[in-house]
Amino acid sequence: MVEALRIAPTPSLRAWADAKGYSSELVARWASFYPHIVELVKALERPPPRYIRLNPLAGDPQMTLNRLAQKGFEYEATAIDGGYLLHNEPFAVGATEEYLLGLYHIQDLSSQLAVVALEPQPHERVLDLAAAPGGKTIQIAQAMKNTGVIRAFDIDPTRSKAMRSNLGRCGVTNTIVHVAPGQDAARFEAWADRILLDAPCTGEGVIQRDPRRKRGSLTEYESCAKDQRELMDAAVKALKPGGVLVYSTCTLAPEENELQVQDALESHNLKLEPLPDPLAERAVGPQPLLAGLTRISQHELDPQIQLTRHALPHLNNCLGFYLARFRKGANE
Amino acid sequence: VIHITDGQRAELAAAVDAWQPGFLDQIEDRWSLAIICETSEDRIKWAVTSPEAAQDLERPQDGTIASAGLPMGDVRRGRWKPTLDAARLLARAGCRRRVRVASELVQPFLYGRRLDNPKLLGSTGEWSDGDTVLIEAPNGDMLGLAKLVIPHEVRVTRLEPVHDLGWYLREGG
Repeated sequence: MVEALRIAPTPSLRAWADAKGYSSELVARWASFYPHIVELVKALERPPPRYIRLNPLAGDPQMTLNRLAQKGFEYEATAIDGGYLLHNEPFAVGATEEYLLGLYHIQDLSSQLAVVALEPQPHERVLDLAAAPGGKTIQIAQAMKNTGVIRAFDIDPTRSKAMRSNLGRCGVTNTIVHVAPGQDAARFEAWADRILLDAPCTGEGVIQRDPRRKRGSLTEYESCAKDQRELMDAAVKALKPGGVLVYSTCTLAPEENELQVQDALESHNLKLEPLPDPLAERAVGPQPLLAGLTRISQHELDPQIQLTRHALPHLNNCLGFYLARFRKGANE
Repeated sequence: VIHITDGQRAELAAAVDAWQPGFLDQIEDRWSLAIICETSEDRIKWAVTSPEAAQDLERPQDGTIASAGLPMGDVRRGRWKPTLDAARLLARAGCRRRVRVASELVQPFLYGRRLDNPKLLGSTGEWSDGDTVLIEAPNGDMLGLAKLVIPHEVRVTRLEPVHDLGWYLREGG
């Protein structure tokens, strides 16, 4: 049972949040957890930046960039290899012949970070839980050079269909798609070398795409956190001893982030690891990612949690995202 | 989903060779992919995967698998209907059944328009009325598959898109 952390908003913050159309309880929480609340809310009010990822499985990346440049697209390389920020779209980047040919896919920078954290290797076995619409699955397949095997789970048949189309368009051959809840992955006991658990969440980090979240209720954390815990249990069961598990969400709520990680550390034989470069120290977007919180309200958390990272719209010019990388011990 | 048997392979190879002789060998030897299939009384539904994925499919499965690898299409009564994913592989394999259309026809074709008396820049292979061919852009990009309608046997008079390619472009992004 997760009880939402309640932070009373000051009268001025309440008035300011109301004027912006946000739940003042939500903003009061963010103000207590994250730096520069005014900048954060300003960033949430801007349209989200558009990122693409080149797909070496379908064509030479440099050739793809040249073709997009010829059509008038302007772009800039990001800190993530193969990731580009679009500055100018003469027309929708999802409506080009190059997109149809699978030469790139559209994927926010934040979601690209999760696969960088996972570091999948050729010939491995990888589980991708809550995988649709498949952007991260494609990125995993790219890192594995289409070798090994990925089992991608998603419970939603419509989104799974879109994922299958995306995988086909991008020429992914090493993936088995399951239309099933991620909890079902538990039956693949000690199967996976690596697991990406991008958990369903309240989505506070994607307000730029879904403004309804501005007035999200604090009661939603409970049901999300329950699913997240079940998914974590299934993932740990499916992971080989010594394997890597990346837990990620697109929310700013500690109940779904640091407190879930704390619970996993207490419940399983897991240790947190530093995220690989460039996520641990270097700038991703304008600034480095923010370290995980180790003190939240009255909760004093495991110091390892400072190894986890937040991507925030105002610091990293991407959607809000949280990342933790675990290593499973030998005796789990 | 199972590995292919010798008999199924022979049936599949015969149907696929009509498109591109030796295509199955090319898939396995050149691209190091495995061929898997699902069979019913009158059809072979096949796909290509990494060898590790094919091996992993040998373990007992439940009913939740929606797809494995790249779907290549169905063979029924000795005829293969390639998917768009299969068409991409056929193009990479240098498939001989190709028609190259003029640049002004690329967008109409991608958005699902039937091309009547299209301006063609070239073609390879032999075909007859009702056959399906790969359609290429002037720069060699594989755009999709089209059914040929040839009333007078010599001249291509109509190209009808087989798949709704515009879906990607309408939904993309």
